[in-house]
Amino acid sequence: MVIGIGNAKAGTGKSALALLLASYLAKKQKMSVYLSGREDRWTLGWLGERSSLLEHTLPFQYLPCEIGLLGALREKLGAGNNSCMLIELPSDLQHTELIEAISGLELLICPFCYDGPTLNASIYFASLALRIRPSLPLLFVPNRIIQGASYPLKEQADKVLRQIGSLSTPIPSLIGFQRISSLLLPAGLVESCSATLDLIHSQYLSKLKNGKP
Amino acid sequence: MINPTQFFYGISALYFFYYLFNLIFDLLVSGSPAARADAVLIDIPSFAEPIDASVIDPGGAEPEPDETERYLGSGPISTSGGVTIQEIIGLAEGDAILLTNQISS
Repeated sequence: MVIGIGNAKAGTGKSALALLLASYLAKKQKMSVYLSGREDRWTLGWLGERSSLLEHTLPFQYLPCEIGLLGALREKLGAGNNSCMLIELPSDLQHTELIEAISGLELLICPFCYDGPTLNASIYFASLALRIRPSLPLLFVPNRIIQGASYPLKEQADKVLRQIGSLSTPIPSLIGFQRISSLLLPAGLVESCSATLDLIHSQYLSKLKNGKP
Repeated sequence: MINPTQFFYGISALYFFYYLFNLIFDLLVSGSPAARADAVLIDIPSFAEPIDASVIDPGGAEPEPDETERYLGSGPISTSGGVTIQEIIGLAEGDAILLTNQISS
């Protein structure tokens, strides 16, 4: 299965979610996971360089790739039943290749926060993806949610987001996310988010594996 | 008591054995490529493999191309269906405005 992770706004936690999901699927679900993102000095690229310098043995494979070559990379890897390709999509929407990248996805995950600018960007990105491929399943993942804090826009935002996609339980705000310094995540961090990741896997990804999006 | 020359020789010998040990250790410990055999090697340039012109027979009769190949004979063409990314962005902006208007900020 091919899953995209994207948002039109930078800093919404795309890389962290991609990394979490890749580690979770590889370690807990024993899947062959290929994580792909832009080659240049974006978050994943920078973390990838650190991991390669430190000779980390990663539970998944990191394959940095230009967005225009994603289709070719997908064909090269093939579509195994127990394999998953996670693609971090760029925030810059002026890429013509974005049409092809989104067309090839089986699920688009959109991490977001409950603040005005991020909500607007997330809805815009989702609308764009649906204009490119109207049947694409969307999953919105609330990110950096502080327990006990109040989010005035939450109720209305949830209602709007459910009109165009599904909404998962949130990823909590954890200090561990600020301490990520390579592609090798501490086991405790994946464990802390396992409730949401279990739900994403059981509700959405296992259906994709069985061919029922 | 040792003189500077003896000290220099002593240090040189020590370094020599130290680096020799490092070299042997690296050769033995770093492992064979088979240890990483499960890694998928992606060779990006190989996506577009060159055409070997020498195997094309120039004398052979070309089969008559059908109606579509006659005009679109330069390989598979990927198309968005005649809509540019700018047009899609414009349509998406309209959809997004309708949705975000439902959130009072």
